[in-house]
Amino acid sequence: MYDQDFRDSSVTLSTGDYSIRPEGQVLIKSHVRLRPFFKLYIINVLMQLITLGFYRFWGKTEIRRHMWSHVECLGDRFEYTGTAKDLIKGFLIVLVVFLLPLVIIRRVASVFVIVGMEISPKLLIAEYLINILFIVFFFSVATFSARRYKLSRTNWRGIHSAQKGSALVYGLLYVGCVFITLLTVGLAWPACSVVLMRYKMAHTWIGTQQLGFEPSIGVLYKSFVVVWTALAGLLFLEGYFFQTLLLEFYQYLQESDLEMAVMAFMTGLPGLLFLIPVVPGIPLLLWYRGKTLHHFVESSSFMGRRLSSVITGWGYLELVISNTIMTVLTLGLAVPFTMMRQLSYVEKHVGLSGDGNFAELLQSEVVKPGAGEGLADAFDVGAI
Amino acid sequence: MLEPSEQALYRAAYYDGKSAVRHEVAVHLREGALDIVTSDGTILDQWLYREATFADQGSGGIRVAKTDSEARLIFHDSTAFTALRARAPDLHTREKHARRGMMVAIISTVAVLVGVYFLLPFVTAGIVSITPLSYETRLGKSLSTGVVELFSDEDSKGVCDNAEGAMALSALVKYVSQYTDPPLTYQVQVLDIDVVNAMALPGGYIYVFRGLLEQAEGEGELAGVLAHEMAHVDLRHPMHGLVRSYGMSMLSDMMFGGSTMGSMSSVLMTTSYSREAEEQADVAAIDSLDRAGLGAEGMAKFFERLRTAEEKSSLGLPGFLSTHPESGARERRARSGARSEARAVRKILTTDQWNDLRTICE
Repeated sequence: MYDQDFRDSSVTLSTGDYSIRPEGQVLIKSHVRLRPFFKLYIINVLMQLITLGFYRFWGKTEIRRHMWSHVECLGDRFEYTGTAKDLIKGFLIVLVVFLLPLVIIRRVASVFVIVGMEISPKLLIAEYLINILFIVFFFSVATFSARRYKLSRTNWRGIHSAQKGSALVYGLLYVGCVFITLLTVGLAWPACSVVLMRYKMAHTWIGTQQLGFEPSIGVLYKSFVVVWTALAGLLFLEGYFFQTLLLEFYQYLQESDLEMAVMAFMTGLPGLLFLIPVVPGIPLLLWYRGKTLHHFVESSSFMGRRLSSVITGWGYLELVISNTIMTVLTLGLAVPFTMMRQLSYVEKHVGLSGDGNFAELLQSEVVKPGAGEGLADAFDVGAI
Repeated sequence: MLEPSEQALYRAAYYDGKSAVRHEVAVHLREGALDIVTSDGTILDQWLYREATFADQGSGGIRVAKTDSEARLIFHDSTAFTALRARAPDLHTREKHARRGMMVAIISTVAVLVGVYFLLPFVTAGIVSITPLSYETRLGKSLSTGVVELFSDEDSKGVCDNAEGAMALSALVKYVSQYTDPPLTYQVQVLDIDVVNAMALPGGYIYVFRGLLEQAEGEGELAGVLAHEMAHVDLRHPMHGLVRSYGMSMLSDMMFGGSTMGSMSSVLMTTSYSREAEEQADVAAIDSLDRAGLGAEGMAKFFERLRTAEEKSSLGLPGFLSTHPESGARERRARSGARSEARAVRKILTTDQWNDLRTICE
């Protein structure tokens, strides 16, 4: 019964061309097999239906435990030591100190609106902006603390990892980055993304050893210039198309043919909202993300060993788009398979070179957080 | 306890939780504790059997943890694990872990739902009792404007208010409300909608739909419906309903992240509370009708026709899915509840007035 699971036969996954191997040995090797993993996922979905979603804490824990213990790094499997109890504690804390006050304030405010209290438009705009700021800030705080929890519950060779640094500082950095990026029409984003990533990576510890992270902003700008120019072109095209559409609309309107005017405008909408911005825009951004990932991996080191990467913009683009299509077409049933494909992509595109002696790696002295991911759960970013 | 022959050596990998060094060891299962022994015979650690807990079982073997520490033993074959499990009381398998999680999740969900179901009426009543009537009036005014706007379109003029009809309506309202106990003034209006229904809003607003007016055979039936809606106002039911649905959607958002199942369960709860409120309103209406000398016969008749209409449409919604109690039961209650059955039912409106009222929308 137990021996059955030890067989190292994994489902063959094809995700592009792997003739180019990363330098050194593989960083991780996935032994996740589709059938048991899919079964776990389905049980999770059904139990969440029965318990109105309450099972998510247990489901997430079970799935992580399974994944971690089936992924090998240098001959040893990872171990996930988190529990559903931790996640529930995190949820309850956020419920009491964050969600409850927030929901009550919002509800009371909406009652005032119903009763017809005078609210000036200025106040409404201010409220809107504060809301966005609030969401961006707490969203980034949530992702940072979720990372802290996950790392603290990830063991390798009996040594646990840790995320040092402050979630609030990271949240402020993030809000600042969003502002600067908006002010510079996007041009500051690569520099900003390096600042944010460095804050996360340089504060990441495995046992007593810190992760090394030395990216070069210049490298990122090389690919960013391409994306930025293309996006600017798209924006120009969008403006031109919108203008033509408006002209057509007014022409019909002057002929007082309202129906035709609306018709002409409506037929242009798919192009305006989807064909011009989304169809080329999203692949462009994914391509850039692949390039960034490649550079970030190559810039990372640990105990004298360097990570190597053969991740490409196109390969990453292909992976994400195909995974998304599969997920949508199967209404989410393909999620375990797409997760396996992600693992497999890392397995084939990330390597570890150089030699460092892990015997010197000692147990972390960072105190583990007692509860986890409440905020991430509230924002629904606490995916596996 | 264990015979010497049962004491066995098993191969395993050992991590001491202090450094990342992998030790190839033999695990010696002795009486009361296990020894972790290297090939040269050094004992690296000793674990009591009750300290051994299951960590996970992945592609690398079965991992056993020492309680409250990061030290791990990894067994590559199941015989070793089975032998250890026979001795260690807390060494459960993954399946047992998972089953316990499922049970806890189901039980806590049920407990939360039951708790909310029983506590919510108390909390709602508390909030309603501290809500000032002036506030309720403002709320009702804004809601009623919304309702009238919702139903006003090209085919419907919203509120029906031709002068003769309005006079007849106010005469009827005045008579029916003689013995009711309203916290707020009733604002009764007819809405131009072809539906057999009536409703009460916060702030004393009562709307009778044109469809009901046309269907009603005689003023007694209309009086019965009015008394019922007035009872809702007296008991501040619309306010209860509003506070409750606010509270419930708030809870459901927070607990279940606005899931479909969450909103379904709150719909089920709402219907159950609302049936209770309907029954209360029926009882209060029968009482006030009785005291006004009108008797509940009109109300009973109305329910009777509602029942036959329901039977015809044969939608057959089971009781727990319906917001109103079954009409047959309401009819029986109206008939048995009225004490003044024998008394002659008083006429309130003249035939002309009744006709004016029925044509209030024309």
